[in-house]
Amino acid sequence: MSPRRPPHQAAGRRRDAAFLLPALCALLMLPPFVNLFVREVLVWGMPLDMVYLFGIWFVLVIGAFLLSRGLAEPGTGPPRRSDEAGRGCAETPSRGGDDA
Amino acid sequence: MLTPGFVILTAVGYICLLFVLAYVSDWLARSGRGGFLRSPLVYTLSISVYCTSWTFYGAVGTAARDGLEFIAIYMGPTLVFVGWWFLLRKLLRIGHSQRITSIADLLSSRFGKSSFLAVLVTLIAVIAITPYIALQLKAITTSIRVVSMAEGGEGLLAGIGDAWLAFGVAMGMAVFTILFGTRNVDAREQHLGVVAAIAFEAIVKFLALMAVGAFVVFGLSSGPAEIFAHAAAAGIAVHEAQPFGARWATALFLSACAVICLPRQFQITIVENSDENHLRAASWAFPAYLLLMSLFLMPIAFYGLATMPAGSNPDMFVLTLPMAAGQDRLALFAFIGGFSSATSMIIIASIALSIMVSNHVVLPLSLRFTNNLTEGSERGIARLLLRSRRISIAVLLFLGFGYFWLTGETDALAPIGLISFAGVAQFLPALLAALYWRGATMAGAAAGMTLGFAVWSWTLFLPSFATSNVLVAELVAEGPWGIALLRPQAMFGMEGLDPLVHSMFWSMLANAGMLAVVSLLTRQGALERIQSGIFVDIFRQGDLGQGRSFRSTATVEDLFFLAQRVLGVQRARALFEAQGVPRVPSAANIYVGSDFISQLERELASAIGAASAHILLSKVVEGDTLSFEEVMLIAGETLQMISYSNELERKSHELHLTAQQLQEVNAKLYALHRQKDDFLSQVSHEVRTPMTSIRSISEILMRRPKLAAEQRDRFVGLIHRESVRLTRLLDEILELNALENGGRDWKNRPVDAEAALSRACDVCEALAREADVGIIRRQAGAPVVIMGDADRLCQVFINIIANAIAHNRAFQPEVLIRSRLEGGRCIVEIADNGEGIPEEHRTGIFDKFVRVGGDSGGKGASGLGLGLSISHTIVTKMGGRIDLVDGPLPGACFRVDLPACTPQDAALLQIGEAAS
Repeated sequence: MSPRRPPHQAAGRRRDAAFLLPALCALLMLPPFVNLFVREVLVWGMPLDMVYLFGIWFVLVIGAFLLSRGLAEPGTGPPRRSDEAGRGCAETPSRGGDDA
Repeated sequence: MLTPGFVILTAVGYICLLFVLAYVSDWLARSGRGGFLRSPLVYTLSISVYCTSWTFYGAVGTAARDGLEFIAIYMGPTLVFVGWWFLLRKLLRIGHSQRITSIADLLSSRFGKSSFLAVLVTLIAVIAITPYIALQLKAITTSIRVVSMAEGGEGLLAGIGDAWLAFGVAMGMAVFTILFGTRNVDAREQHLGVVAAIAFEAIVKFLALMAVGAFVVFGLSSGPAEIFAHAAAAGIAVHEAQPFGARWATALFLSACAVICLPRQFQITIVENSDENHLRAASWAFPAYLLLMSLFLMPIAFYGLATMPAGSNPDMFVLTLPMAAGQDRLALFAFIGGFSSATSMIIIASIALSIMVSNHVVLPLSLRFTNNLTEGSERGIARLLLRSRRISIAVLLFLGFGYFWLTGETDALAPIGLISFAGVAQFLPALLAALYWRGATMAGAAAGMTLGFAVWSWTLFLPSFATSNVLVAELVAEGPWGIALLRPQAMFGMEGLDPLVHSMFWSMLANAGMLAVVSLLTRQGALERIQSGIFVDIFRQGDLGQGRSFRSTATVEDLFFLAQRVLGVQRARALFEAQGVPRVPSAANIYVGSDFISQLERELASAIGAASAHILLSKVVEGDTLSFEEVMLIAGETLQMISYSNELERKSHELHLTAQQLQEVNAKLYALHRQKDDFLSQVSHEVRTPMTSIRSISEILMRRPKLAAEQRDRFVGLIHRESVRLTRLLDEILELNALENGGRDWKNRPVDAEAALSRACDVCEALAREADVGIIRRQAGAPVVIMGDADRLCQVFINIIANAIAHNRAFQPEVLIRSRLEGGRCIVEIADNGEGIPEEHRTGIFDKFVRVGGDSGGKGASGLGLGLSISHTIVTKMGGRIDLVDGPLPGACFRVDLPACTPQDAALLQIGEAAS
């Protein structure tokens, strides 16, 4: 609410994060970097490389979960409902409202 | 305990359960109680149709053979879904707004509703998916055999070969899918019942795999650590043998492509989606599902490798481990899990492909070859679609079986899946271009996909037959006709690469390269340009209505007839009523607006695809182009008109300018004409006066011969004087004429103006003395050099000085002549102390025949009125000017202003003088 941090700025930051998360994780699991973890080391009795990859995966899922709630359409508020026209024959197409 | 008969019976029972589930769901949805079927949970679960029997069986096999590579197959989709905001959301929005029915429909719609492109995509999809269907058949066949082998004897299956078993499975699947997926032609191609069944299957396969995993990890051993320790003790490398490389990156890329481009994924993610917000949940839930599915794969693989006898098929560890432990019920559950993952894939893939085939191949063909399709029986088109879908499902499964039969069963499951992934990845460049590049053209997309597909066929699809076909094997080893450069797995000598990486490199390079280059070289059609705008800027448009305000010539009756043939009576009626289009008999011939036609086209597209809907509607609304083209045409005409009008305006402005110039020139000409007339009349007048006097005197002389001698002499003197005056007048006119029109022999050369002035003063001195006028001369110190004619200049000075002397009526008449060099100009001023020139004559003093004072002939031959005019012309010719100014004396003062020469010219003058 404060004039210093308008809401659209926060939304923009979340969108940036939504791009950064998969991009960064892709970088982390691609060859030059991922090979740092290909070592003969066991973590909790499991191979390091496997634990590392599953770790990134886990981070991705958690990150996506957190981001999925914050992302909003720029300007238009909540994403509009898709039309119900496909429901079946008895349904009234949603465009009916256009006549008003 | 598990006899083949029992296993098969279980499978059939499971399928019946699915069928009931689908039926009930459809029924619930129709009666309005199917809300839960449109939940994010069901949506997410149905997306997991991505996990097929390749995941269920093959991933364990991959883990056992190639270590962690299988993870890439699930990490790719994870990345795509986590980044849903940028790609999937846009796809989904377009899918909704354009009523997209398949990936072929999407591409064809974007590239100008091109039928050709839709056919091309359909063909590629059918060929690329065939190995994938074969994989499922293979998995089901193998799993049936493995499970029923437990008994030792094969019982029912004893005499049946793998091929026959697979054939049986394929036929069963075909019947099942036809019954399941093509009961009706839904609007928007949403199959709620099917989706519900798929979601159920997702749960079954998840639970089955988790159960087996948990059993292996916590039942057979005490946790993952022990499994890895055990495997290491048995001499199995638990760490990655080699660093991750190109193959890992390729697999990651391929799986990311596949989750977008696979027809079944597109069907579930885009077409079957009912709410854009569901993607929000799926963005994390689907990756989570994949993560959990993969969690136990490595332990299962290592446990199997460590405990199972050497040579056992790692693909089947999920089944064989429980069986080896005597857990037949768990094994049966695992079998059902694998079976459900295979069936869900087959169902959705063949539904998606059959929709593509019927919408994009069969319907356009029949529309082209028959004219009276719309006049056929009730719902003729719907029937045609259903029939063609059923046939294509059967054909697809048969193709899958054919691939299975031809390639044999030597290969593991995973490579087959990757071949399909690489095939559908050929859609990716066109798809990305469709969403983000406005300039991509139909020709570009078609060329890219065709070439990419050709390279894929040559480098990956063809070599997959090498194990079972000697000819192909030879081709792969030697190249066609022994050309080593064209060897499928070492194109242009690129050896040492993994075949998958090699194929992806070349096909993607060719595909994207052709797309870009051909797009730059070709132009978009009108419809293509509009569609590209809609697709690329989907988030920037508030309203999708295109072309609103003008009318179409299609009648309500025509359109309703068409709509009910495709959509069914009920739905068509609902659509027409919702749009407020009256359908009473009296309104049969009413024309409807083109916005309604656009809407109808979208509705039709939701059932039969954009390209077919476009063709169909164009056909019915004959002689009436559809709204998009109309808009475009009108827009084009308007544009043309604007440019024409601009052109006209420019031309008219030009014309106006020309007219103005013409007017000015005309005025000038007129003035000149007047001048000439004036001049002529003046000359006539001037000539007439002396002529009259000469004539009258000579008449007196003739009539009176006895005139006194003294008088006669006076008369003769008069005649002489008048004729001299006349001659001089004519001379001056001629001179003026020569000066004004000549100039051919006029030549300016350096002369000393001071010398010319001195000469003029000398000439006029006698005249001055005669008139008793004093001449005062103030001259410049040095010679002043100008460019001109010395004699003419002298003439000018004489003329002015003579005037000053002649017209001076002062008591003590005097003339002041002064010359000076001022700012590079030679200035000579000749002033007198006479009466000066009256105000009314000042402006035209240099005109011809202007005389001041009107005393013609008063002082002899001085007043012809041409002297100053001649002087003015001469000075102008020398590049100078002559003005009447206020001088130092009370009378008139004429100032001659001439440009002086530079010192170099002066030097030149001296040289010239010296030479002469």
